[in-house]
Amino acid sequence: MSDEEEEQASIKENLLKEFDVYNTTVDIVSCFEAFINYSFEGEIESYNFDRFPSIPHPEGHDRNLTPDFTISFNQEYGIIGEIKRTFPEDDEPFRNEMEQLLTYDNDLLIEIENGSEQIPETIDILLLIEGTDAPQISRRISELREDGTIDFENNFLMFRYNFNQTSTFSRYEFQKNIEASDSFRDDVLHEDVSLSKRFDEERETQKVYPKHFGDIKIQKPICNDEPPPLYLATLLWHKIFAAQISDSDYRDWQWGSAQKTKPFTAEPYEFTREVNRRFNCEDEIRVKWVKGALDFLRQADLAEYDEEEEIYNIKYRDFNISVGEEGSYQNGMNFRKECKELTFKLIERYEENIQEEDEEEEETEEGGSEAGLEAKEQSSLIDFSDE
Amino acid sequence: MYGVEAESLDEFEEEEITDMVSLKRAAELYANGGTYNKIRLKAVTAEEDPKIVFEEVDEHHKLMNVDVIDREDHYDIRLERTIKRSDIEDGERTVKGSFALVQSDHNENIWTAITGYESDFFERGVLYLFNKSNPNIYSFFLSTSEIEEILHNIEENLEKSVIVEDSVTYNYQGEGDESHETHPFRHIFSEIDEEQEYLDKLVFKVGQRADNEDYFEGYLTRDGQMKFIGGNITPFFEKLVTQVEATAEQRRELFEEKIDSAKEGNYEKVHIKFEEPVFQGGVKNHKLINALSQMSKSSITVFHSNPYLHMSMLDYRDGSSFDIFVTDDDLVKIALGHRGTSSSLMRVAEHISSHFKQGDILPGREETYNFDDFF
Repeated sequence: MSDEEEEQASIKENLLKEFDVYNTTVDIVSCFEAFINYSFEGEIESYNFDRFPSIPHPEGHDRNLTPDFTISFNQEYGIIGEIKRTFPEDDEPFRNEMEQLLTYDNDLLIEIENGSEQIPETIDILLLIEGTDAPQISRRISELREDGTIDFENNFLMFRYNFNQTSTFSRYEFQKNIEASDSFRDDVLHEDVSLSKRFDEERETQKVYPKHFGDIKIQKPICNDEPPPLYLATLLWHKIFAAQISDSDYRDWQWGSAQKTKPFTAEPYEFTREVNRRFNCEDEIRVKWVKGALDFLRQADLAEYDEEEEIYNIKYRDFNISVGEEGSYQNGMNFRKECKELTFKLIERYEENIQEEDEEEEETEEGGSEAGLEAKEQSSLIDFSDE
Repeated sequence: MYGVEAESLDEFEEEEITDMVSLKRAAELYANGGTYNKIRLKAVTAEEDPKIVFEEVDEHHKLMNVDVIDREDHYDIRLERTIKRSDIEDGERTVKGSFALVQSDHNENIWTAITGYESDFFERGVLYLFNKSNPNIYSFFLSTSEIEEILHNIEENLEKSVIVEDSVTYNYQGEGDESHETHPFRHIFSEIDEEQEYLDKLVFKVGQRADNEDYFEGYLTRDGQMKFIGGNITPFFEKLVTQVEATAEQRRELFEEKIDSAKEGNYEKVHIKFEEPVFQGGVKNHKLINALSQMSKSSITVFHSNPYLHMSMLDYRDGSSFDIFVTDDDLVKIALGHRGTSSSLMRVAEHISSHFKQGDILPGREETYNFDDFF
């Protein structure tokens, strides 16, 4: 493989990895939402699962706290949930991550029912870590807690999550890590539905199957983190854009070729409202996220940005592109490529277009300043790292 | 009219067909009048009055003229289509003919086209017109077990044995298999079951000619095409066409109810349930993705492919979108988007049935679990 081919493979892998990591986070949040909804409906006076918490900073900072979810039981007991695939290797960034979690160790206003917030009497902090790195991370967290570097006033619990593919039916599994964790203080819950009994005393593994969380995920494909532009772009393309063109446009596609472009304009604010409505997101999807996705489509030459009007002109159509020679990527990637899946088609277009723009940039750099600025903005979009 | 003028039967040469009674009489005489004379039929689902739909097609389609004449109990459709292709002599040719389109007696959204014209007009005229009338008029499909049930009911109702003379089956790799052996119909279906195939079409006869009044020879395909080949036309309509229409209506009702509810913002699903576990260990997920990725004018996104499957689909023909979820080893769940049509849902279900595996199509139900189910 040449350097150029390796670079291309790496862009693809990064884009797909980002997509998959986000998708898994949506799965995990959906697992917990399903677990809470199915388990506590009718079992407790009131409970609430907030998928998009935005909590005023206890120290008055402008920026709200946005954990991955919060749970409230009978307005007395609350759980703040944070999902991390992994932690940094180095000590200082590792500590910083833990210090960030300490901001949740306060009297926080959490949603107790739709539109109503309250500070529960008791609040626990739940950290979810992906299985592979969990043992090592739990050891380091427990050391930081023991030597007093990190000191939680509320109870702190660490769970490892794992996607079990070897059982008869694949499932997510959640296990409490005893070494790094305190106990749930869920006295408010009856013994039959007690988290502390199951996780702390009996040390059971929680098993959530796709049949449990699938319906929730389909209805809410976004979580409280910014989605990668590719992820949101595919949702826009399949579920939002389809309503933007007329019946006669569809008739044209049906009678002729669906590769004929049907343009329409997308005003980011209006589209953000539509995306929030469609994905049941309580206005939590930010304009910036939608702009990111629209920019990704611009980079894939499927949209243009009108700076004067501040709108995107979407070039909507079915598109199949030549995907070139088979690379030596992982099987999953080849499979996506073979079945002309939208995610992969978008990546191919993005990559193809970026290359063309890079070439243009090289040609214009000598003479133009505006083009250089544009290119600089674009290059930041290429830099998809695993932040 | 409708290509059913029987040359050897003078009585119908001059008589105009004004209603279904005269059409059926003419059709019966025509089909019995010559070895190659057949009456071709196609049942479809229509969400709108076909007259309005065809007038719209006529207005927008430059190479097709469609005239719809109101008859007493059916539409008289005159169709002329120009086919332009470089491999045709002079670059173009015309197919021209007429057919009757009759609304089902018991199911107002199911209509059946009837014509005595040859297969060229039927396929490139009638079927082409239906194809261009999507999503307002669309095809449905019959599963192998539904066809078996139809034949079983004919046998029971008429108390005459149903004998299959020719059949075409396919496996899920798209390989066809023709049989020209004569067997009681049950034999064909037990073979299909063993071979993991689905039935595409068959020619059959009911009873023996000597049985007279109930005897007919028919042809049925999984997409609702039929032929009256000979015999008596009354049992053909009463026992075959009526049943095909009723099966189409059952599916339409299920889809339409779900589609309407989804448009109102409700979360709705349709399930395809297989007789045996097919997704054990996620082995067949890629096969299902591959099957759906081959659907024309559509796009897929795979969120998760193995071992559980979650993908979304967009149908570029009318903007319908669906999520496909496989979470159990014997079930495909199709979740409906806010924008969707029954026509598109039928297309997805048909595609899964013919390219992956046939299953029972059922309304999705709300699932409930409790705390203990998670441990």
